[in-house]
Amino acid sequence: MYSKIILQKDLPKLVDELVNDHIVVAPTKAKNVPTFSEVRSSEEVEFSILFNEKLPMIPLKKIFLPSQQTVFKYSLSEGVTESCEELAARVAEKKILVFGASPCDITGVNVLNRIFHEYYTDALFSQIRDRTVIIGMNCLDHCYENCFCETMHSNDPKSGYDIMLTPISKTKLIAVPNSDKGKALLRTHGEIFQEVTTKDHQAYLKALEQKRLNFKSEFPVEGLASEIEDNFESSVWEEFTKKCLFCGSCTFVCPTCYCFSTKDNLSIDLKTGERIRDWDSCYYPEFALVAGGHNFREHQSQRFRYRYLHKFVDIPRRYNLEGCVGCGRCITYCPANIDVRDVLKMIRGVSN
Amino acid sequence: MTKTIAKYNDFGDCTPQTAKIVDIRSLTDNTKLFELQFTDSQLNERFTYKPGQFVLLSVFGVGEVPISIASSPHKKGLFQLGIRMVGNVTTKIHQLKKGDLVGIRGPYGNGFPVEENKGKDLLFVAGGIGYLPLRSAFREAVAKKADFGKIFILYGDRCPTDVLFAEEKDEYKQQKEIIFHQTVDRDDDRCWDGNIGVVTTLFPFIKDEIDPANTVAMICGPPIMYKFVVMELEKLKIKPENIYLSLERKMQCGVGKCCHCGIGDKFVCLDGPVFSLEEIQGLLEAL
Repeated sequence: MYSKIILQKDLPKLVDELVNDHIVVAPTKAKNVPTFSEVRSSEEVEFSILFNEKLPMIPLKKIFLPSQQTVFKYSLSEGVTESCEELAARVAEKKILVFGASPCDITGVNVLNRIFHEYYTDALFSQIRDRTVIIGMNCLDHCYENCFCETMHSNDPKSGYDIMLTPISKTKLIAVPNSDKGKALLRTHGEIFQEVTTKDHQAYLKALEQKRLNFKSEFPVEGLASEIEDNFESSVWEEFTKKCLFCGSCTFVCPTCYCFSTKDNLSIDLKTGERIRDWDSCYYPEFALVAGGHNFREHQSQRFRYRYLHKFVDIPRRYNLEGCVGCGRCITYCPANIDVRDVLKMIRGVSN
Repeated sequence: MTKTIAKYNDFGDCTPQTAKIVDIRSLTDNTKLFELQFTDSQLNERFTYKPGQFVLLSVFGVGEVPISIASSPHKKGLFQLGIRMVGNVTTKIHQLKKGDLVGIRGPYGNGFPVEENKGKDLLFVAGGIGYLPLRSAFREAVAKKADFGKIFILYGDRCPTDVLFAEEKDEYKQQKEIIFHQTVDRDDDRCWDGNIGVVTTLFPFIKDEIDPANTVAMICGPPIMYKFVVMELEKLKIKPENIYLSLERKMQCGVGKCCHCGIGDKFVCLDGPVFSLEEIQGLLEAL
């Protein structure tokens, strides 16, 4: 059997072995908020985040699409001096290992992975993704009141991770590999793991059954796209526009928001520089503003509505994927207390 | 309509290819025509494009903007971009000189379906700087005029000093297959002897000559123009599938990633910039 058992108390030992040949990214409280960051030993890992199932504030996307990234370098006299591919190769020199990704975050990365490979492969994204091993931490129940992953079908990704850890008792987890890299990792660190007994296997099946029973869908997503489209002119958009502060927090904490803008940073010598790409937000007034002053989404209500259209109409239609994973971060971090579920329900004409 | 989706190639990268400005020609007070050549000479041979396709032009140190290619595709070894000074990047490139370097990515987008409409009458409606990409398309048709029926060109500018390639007017007027009409929105200095009014005021001049069943219209101009031109074309009974519009949007990547040019489930950079009216009639926020 490829699957192995690991004792909860041995998880730090595993992390300490992994840091030897990987850049390990794990949940920490580095900035006093739950966050994914690089760790050099297990002491920096906040295991309570894994087990109390609080989502890190910024999702995994920040590893593959950092909030700020150099696309290429140039000099005014020679033109391009270092291409995107060369930079990507350098960025991806070291193997990255993500420890403790939640299923919904894995689904979020899968959405971005598809988008960043569609028609045209984004070298920066794909090289980092290809060099990254992901160890997931399974959820067996909604992690908090804002979670609606079952609704968005995101808590059981079929790919996009190498090992999934599922707690099968208070002290034990089963490590189920989902790729060759995952199997290799279990072999390399074999001494930390134990064989799966029949009893363990039964406990695993029971845990999965419990997961199936615990997760509840809040509303059907079937037909959502066409209903949003049919209610394009609804006054509900206006109502929420009045509440929204257009700060863009929801877009930055969203696992599937990937809009970016580019800008040039000229060095202090005024001779060399680099093209940078930064996260952007469709809530900002400049998002669809072109030179000459025409703004294709001039009104706040158009910008508020666009994010919903993009997530629940456009991404599903273009890529055959859900554009939202139901992690609820946008609800948690919204300073105006806007709940995406309320917006969707009201657009559909369901009163709260 | 045949769809050309931008494919990964030497030019389709995140990184621009370095190109040199080999010639600069002033077209109006605020518009210049830049002639460009890649510094890697092999690339010049491989750089092929369709009228209506665009490139992403980098002015190093300032940024990157999408610009339609103004030259005709049969011109090999170099290409032209006509640039009006409206934003940061376009203002900076106006200060550059012959021999300076810029970055080029592309060509991106689908372009105008000129070749695909052989045997048809073509109606081009251009507003302002939108004349440049359309000119690339209709000069392609004019060069092979035996393949096409009549070629109508309606061209509007804000004022007489904005008029591009004014000297070409006589060339078009001498050819009986070409019906060329021009207008300006206003003539404050009283130096214009032609029609005054927005571009839609030119439609009465051609309405009796249009054969709606055999006419394909191509439009490029400022965003405000489209609704009104489409209304005129519908009055002429030209079918939506025969009306092509080149849409403008903000773009950062040109390859369907950055989302700035998204209209519904379409990206202007990948699926456009030229759409048939039929394609976008059901698309919210398109026009």
